[in-house]
Amino acid sequence: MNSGPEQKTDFNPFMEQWIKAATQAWESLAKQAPAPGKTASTAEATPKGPKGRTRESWDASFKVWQALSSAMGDPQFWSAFAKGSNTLPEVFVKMANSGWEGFVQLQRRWLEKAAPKGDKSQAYDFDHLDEDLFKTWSEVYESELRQYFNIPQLGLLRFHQEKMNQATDQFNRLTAAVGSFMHLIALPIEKSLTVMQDQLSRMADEGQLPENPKDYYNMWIKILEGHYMNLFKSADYVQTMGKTIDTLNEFMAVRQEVAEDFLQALPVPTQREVDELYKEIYTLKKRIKALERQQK
Amino acid sequence: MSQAKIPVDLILSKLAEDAEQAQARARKASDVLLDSLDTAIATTPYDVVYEEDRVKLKHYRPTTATQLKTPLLVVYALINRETMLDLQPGRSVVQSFLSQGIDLYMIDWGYPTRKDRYLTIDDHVNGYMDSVVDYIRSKHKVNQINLMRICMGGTFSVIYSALHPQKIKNLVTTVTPTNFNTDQGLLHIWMRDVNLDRMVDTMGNMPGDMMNLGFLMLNPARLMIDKYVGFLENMDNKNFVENFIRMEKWIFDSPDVPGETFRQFITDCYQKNLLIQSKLQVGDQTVDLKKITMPLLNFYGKYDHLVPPAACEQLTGEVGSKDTEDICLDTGHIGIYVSSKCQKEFAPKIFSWLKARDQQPHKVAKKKARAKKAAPKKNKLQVTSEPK
Repeated sequence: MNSGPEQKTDFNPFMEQWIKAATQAWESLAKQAPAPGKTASTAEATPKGPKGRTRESWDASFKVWQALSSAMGDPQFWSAFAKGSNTLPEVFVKMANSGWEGFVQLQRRWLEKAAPKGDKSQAYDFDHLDEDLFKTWSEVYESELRQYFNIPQLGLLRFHQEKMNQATDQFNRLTAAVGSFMHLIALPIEKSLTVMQDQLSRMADEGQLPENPKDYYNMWIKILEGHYMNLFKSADYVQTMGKTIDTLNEFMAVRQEVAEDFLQALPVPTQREVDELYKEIYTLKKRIKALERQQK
Repeated sequence: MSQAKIPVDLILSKLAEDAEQAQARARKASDVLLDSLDTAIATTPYDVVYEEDRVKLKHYRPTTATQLKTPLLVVYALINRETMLDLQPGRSVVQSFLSQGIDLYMIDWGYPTRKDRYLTIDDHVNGYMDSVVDYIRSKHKVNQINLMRICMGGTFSVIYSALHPQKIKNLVTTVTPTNFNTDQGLLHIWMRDVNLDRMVDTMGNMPGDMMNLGFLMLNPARLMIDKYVGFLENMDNKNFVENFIRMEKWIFDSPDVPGETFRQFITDCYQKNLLIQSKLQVGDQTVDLKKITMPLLNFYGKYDHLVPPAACEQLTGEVGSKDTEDICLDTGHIGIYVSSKCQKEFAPKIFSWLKARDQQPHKVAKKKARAKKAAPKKNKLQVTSEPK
C-alpha cells in the first residue's frame, strides 16, 4: 500500500490480469470440447406425416441451438469474445477505484482524528472545531459518490428515475448534515462534564465539595447552559444549522416530486394542483375586496 | 500532601433522604395527576363579534363600568396564541384591563392552513386588521381607537399605525421588535443566514412545531432539562402542576405562520432591517415611521432573550410622535404578562397612561411638522419579576 496521501492505489494491473486469465481458461476449455454440432445427432427420426405445432417449434429451436453450438465450436469465435471481454475490466476497475479511494480516504481521516496530535478543544470554546467524521463523510460523498446519482437516465421512465436518484442523493446529504448537527448539539454535554470534573476535583482539593446532591445538578446545568450559549453564537454552529435546514428543504422538495409522480397514477389531487387552486382563490378574493372598496 | 475531604457519608445520607422524599412525592404526585385538574386557559368570557376567513375578533364582556371612552384593540403575534394574556385568574392581563374599565377587543388569528400560505403582511395589516379597526370604529361611532400590540403583532401594529395614523388614537407596544440589526438575541444571529426562499417554497407555511423547536433550542439546558426537573420536584403540588400545565398548553399551541408573511418578515425585517429605516414596503406603500404621530408607550424586558432591548428601544426615537415613553421591566419576554409582580404594574400603568390621553384628540397633521420633535421621555420602571 502506498503511504503518501497524494499517491493513488493502482489496482488496474491486478484486475486486468485476473480477468484475462479467466477468459483464457474458458477459451482453452471451449477449444478442447468437441463441437456440439458434430456429435451424433440426438434427434429422433421424425415420423413421416403431419407434425404438431409444438413439435415444429421444438425442431426450430433445436436447429438454432445446433447452429449456435457449431459457431461456438469455432476457435475464432472465442478469440473475438475474449477481445470483447477484455474491455470490461477497465470499466469495472474504474468504478471500483472510485469507491475504494473514497473508502481509503475516509479511513485515513478517521485514523488521523482518532490519534490527535495533542491538540484539544478547550472548554467553552466552539471556534475552529475539529473535523468531525460527518463532515469528512460529507466531503467524500460530495466529491466521489454523488456524481453517480447525477448520471442522466435513458428511456421512457427517465424523468421518474432521475427523480428517484435525486431523492436518494438528497437523503444521503440530509443524513450527513443531520449527523453533523447532532454531533454539534452533543458537544456541550461532553464538554460540560469535563469542566464539571475539573471543578469538582478543585473543590475536593479545597475541601469545599457540597453535601447536597442538588447542588451538583445546579452546577452542571449552569455549566451546560454556558456552553450552549457559546456554541449557538459560533460560526460553525450557524453554518451547520443553515446547511441542515437547506438539505432538509431540498430533500423535502424532491420527496414531494416523487410522491406526486405516484399520486398522478391515482385519482387524488397532488399538492401542487391544490396549491395552484389556492393561489387562484387568493387572487380572486383580493380582486373582489379591492372592487368592494372601490364601490364604497 | 493533605488528603482531599470528600464528604461521601454526608452526600450519601442526603441522597438517601432525597430518595425517601422523592418516593413520598411520587405517591402524592400520582394522586395529583390522576385527580381532576383545572388547567383551562382563556376562560374570561367573550363574544366573537367579527369574522373574516380564519380571523376572529373577540370582544370581552365588561365586568365593570367602562372608564375609557376609546376602546382598546389588542393585536397578538402570529406566533403562539393570544391566550397567554388570559392564562389564569390572578395572572390575566385581560381581566386586569376589564377590572380597570377598559372596553377590550382582541384579534384571534386562528390556525392558518395551507390555503393561507399566500397571505402577505399586506393582507394581514391592510386587510384583516383594517377591517377589524373599521368594525370597532363603526360599532362605537368613534374615529379612532387605542391599539396595543404584542411582539410580532406589535410589528404589524407599528406598520398599521404608520399607514393609517388617522384611525389610531394611542399606541402601546410591548416586547415589539422593530430594530433587527443586533447580535443580542440568538434569533437575530441565526436568521441572517437562513435560505428563506427555499424554506417557504418547500414548506408553504412555516410549521408551528418547527418554530417551537427553534425557540427551545435558544436555551435547551433550561427549557428542555431544568424546566422538567423543576416539575418533577414539585409535581406533588396541585397548584404548581395546574399552572405548569397551563403554561405548557399555551407554549406548545403554535399555529403555522403563513409562508409569504414569514418570508417577508424574515427577509425584510431580520435580514434587511428595513422597518426601523422606514424603508419597508407593504403592498404598494412604504412604511414611514415618522407618520406615527399618536402617543406611544413602549414596554420591553431587560432579560428578554427573544426580543432583546436593543431590538425595541430605538422605536421611540424614530417615530414622529412627540409624546413617547419607554419602560424597561426587569423581566423576560413573557414575564411581563404572566409574572404576578409585573401584572401589578403593567396593566395599571397602561390604564393610567390611556386615561390621561382619553379625552385628547389625536389629529393627524396634514402639513409637515414645523416644530422640532422633543426628545422621548425614558422611564426605567424597575420591577423585580419572579423567576421564569
